[in-house]
Amino acid sequence: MKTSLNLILLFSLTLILSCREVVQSPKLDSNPSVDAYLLPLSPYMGDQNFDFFIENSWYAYDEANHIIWPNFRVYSLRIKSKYYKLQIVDYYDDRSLPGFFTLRVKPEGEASYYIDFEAAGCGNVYTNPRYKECIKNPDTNVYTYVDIEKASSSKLSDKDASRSNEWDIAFNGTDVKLNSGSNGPGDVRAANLYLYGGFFISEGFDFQRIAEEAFGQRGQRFISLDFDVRRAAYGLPKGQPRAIFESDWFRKKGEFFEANSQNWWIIEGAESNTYSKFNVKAIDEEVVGEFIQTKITLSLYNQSKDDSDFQEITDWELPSFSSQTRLFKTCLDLNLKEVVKCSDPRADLILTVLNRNSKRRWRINVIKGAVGPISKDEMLNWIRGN
Amino acid sequence: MSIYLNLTLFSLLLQCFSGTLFAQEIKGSLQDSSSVLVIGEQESNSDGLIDAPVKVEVVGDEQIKKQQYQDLSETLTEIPGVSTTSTSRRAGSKSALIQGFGESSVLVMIDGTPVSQNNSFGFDLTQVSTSDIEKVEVIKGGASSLYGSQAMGGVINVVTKKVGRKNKIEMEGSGGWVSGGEGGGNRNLKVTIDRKISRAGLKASISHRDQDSFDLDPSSITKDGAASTRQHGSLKVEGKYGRRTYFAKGMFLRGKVESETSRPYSSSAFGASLNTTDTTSQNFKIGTEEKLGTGLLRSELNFEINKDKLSLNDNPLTPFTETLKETRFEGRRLDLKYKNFKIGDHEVTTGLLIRENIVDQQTTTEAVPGNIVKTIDIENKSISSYESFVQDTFWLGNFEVSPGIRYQYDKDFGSHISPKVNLSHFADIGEVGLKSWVTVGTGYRAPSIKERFFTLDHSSVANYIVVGNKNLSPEQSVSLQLGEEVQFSKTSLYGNLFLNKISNLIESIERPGEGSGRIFSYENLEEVISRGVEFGIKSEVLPKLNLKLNGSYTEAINRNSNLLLANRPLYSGMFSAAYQVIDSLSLISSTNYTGSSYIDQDNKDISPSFLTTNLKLNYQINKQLKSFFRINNLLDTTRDAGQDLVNPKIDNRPAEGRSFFMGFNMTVL
Repeated sequence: MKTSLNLILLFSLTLILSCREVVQSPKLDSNPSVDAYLLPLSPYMGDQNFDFFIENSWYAYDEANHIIWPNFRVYSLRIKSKYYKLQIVDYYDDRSLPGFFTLRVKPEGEASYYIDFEAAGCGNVYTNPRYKECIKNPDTNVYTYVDIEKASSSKLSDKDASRSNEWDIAFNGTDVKLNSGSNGPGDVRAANLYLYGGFFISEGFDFQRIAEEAFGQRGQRFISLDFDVRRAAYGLPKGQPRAIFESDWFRKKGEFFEANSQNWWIIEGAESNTYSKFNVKAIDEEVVGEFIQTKITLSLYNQSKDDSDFQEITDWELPSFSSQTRLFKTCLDLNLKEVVKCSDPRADLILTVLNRNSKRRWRINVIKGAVGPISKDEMLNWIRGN
Repeated sequence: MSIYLNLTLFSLLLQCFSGTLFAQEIKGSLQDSSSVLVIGEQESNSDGLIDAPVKVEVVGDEQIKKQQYQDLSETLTEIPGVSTTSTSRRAGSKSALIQGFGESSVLVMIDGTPVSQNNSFGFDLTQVSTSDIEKVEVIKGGASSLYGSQAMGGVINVVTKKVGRKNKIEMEGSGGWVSGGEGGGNRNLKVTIDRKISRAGLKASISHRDQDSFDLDPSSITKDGAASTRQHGSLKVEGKYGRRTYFAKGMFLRGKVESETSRPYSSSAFGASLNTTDTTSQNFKIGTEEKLGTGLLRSELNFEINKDKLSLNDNPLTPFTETLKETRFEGRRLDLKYKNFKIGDHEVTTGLLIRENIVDQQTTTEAVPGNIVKTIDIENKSISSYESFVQDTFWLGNFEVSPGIRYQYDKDFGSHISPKVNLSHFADIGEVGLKSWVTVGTGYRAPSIKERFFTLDHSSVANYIVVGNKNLSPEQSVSLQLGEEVQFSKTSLYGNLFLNKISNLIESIERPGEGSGRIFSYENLEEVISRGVEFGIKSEVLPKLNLKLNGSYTEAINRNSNLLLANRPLYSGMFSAAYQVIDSLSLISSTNYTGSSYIDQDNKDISPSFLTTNLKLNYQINKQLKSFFRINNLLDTTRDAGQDLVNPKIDNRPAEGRSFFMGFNMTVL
């Protein structure tokens, strides 16, 4: 008996001393400020290629309610040197059928407008009884192609779209593509301007907050924020994994190459606070014996680390090279206009020339990042690199 | 199946031959059990647990009637350490928590036969009407070897009403209404018929309960309480021929719940959503029982079929069902027990259980008109297992010792042996009676079909999706119970300390992901400790005034995260005062306290504590007719009115505030 009572007392004492409490944890801010999530933008893109609309998704999938919620992310589209802010604000029609988009578009300095169109594609097995057949058939599994400026849409085959300049952005279900790179002949680039941080909780999305936005102003307050669209980081087009892509800085003319001198780039220098406006001014080629001798001239506006803005334009003639050389690799410090070792921390660009099997292949890689290609007029608007 | 037939035949054969070998009188196997509200009172009953060598708590027929309990979940409110939790997976349904263990680790039995937890929502305690309950017995902790693998947390056994010796019809009609909010009325009808036919007896019982939907805030789309219809029917035939009793029992349970919630149908449309769960359970049992030597031999063959139909995410504006999930569970059991036979000073019970469970589940989706997609989730999945046990009881001076061992074999998880022992000491000091006990038990439970294979998308009701996990490991537990019971004069009190250590506890755990945050899958928690204390005091302090006070503190901790498990209140308590004003009139006041609990595994959100008080009046008008009246939730404690949210908030406080309930009970001989 005594042992039993002692044990009970000991056990009770231990329990009482270690009793737990159920305490409410502090709640998140119920209405976080929109401005609080403005992030400093860096416009410079490295040589990286990814699917922009997957990395910067326009929606959040609500697994429990099976709903695609637009997250009201604000994009910027750069189309033929014009800038448009873009939001995808709805994915459903009045009957709650998916694939019916509403875009909010705001051209720079102009009023916003909406574009409505259907782009359900093949849907899914739950909405389309012929889903499997549809997805395999290029005539039925088609994108809807949108002309942003005309606010119009049309259905085209992939083949026709790849040759058309009559569209800027295309939708198929949740997939999005731009008219640039391997998708088409256009120069459309997209940048991510803003995503509201209040939509997130520790382990995912706060769908309640997203829903309140969806049933309210649908992200109007986000697109109204003041962004410098020129300072946004525009993603590289599909199939063009380099910031200074070959077709943007030279083209073939007969057996020679010539410069695409209308395109400019702003280069972020390898050394801190150094920038260069850069353009391939000329490519001079001549036949020497059985080979081609090449001379490349660059135009540069440099902002060195002690400068507050870009200085006067200068030209820089790079060392010439011949197609006889199988591999020619040279690293450039644009700021000092010097050829440096590739291991040198001052190197800004790497020019690689490969001559094999009677083919001449050229490539420029950036060490840090670049903005472009942009027109000369737009380039002149850049007073400073930073 | 052939193995079942063989074993049944073998069992019947054994009993036939035993008649010539043993000549003892049969006694007590069918005797009426008196209504009791006791702690640990010994009573003989072949369907009951009360002769178990561990502590049993009982709520008897008289108490059930006086307290006007309508279903099994309500009868458990007065047992310390036992709480019922509303599962938001099915509005209005309730499952039991014992010492921190949830529905999967609490064995619910009807007349000693386990009910299946394998439908989509586990076994809903509200399905069982008190119209067919003679008493409810509860054993806490995995203390006895007599019960199966699911009894790690404890056992709840419903003893149904026995076949009467006289022809009798009992009818009861009752109904209620809520003072605030909108809707909430309910209507109940119970009929029990006893017939004596020659040497056999027949009992038929039927109960129909109807509950209207209820809304605290009619301006919102979502409703706070679900509409439900619950039916419970049973038919028993029992006959004694020679020394043998033959019985056949059939039971039918149906629960249809219609909840109205709100949900987004698109990113620009929010609307009403109807969700219907229609669950039926059919249970059929045949068997025999007879005295064999010094013991009692009982054999049973049991068939159970459960069907779920869950209509989910239904847009009321469309004429079709958007998602329909159908589950069919079939269970077969052969149960042989040789009970309480004597070997010297030892009283031994042994038994063998063979069972097979089969589940089919399919989902039909019609997201757009005419496009019907059927998905087979589980196809004819079968799990079979065998269990056998030996439980001994003997005396050493004032000590009652009950060692036992249970062997389990599961087709997928192999063999396991669980030893258990209970030691009780009895002493009298003057007029004070003392009982002390120490119990150490080990438990083992293989994952159920549901935990391994079920999928349940119940997102529109409470943003739940539950998915099974094929890679689960069995749970194992060690349970220690240490208690003292004191009885003197007209007062008894007891306290019980418990410590349970569970390895690989199977819990539905929220999965991190891109979903809206309520995706669950069954996972093993490496180690969980549940510990606490429960106590009960009851006393007749004044003539005809009985007081009862119960309380418990239970903490269930995930040792890996050192966080409390969700939906387990730390504290709970009950105080009741019953006063017999005159012979024909009694008044009862009962107050229940449920402590706050975390509603998520990260211990960030809580459901607040709450207190409810009920006042009850029973009046016997004449010998055949009595009436009863009740005010529920006198203090008008309610949850916050449900709002139209994408992620509905979980709040375990009652939806209905103050409500009134009255009825009549008539017995015709």
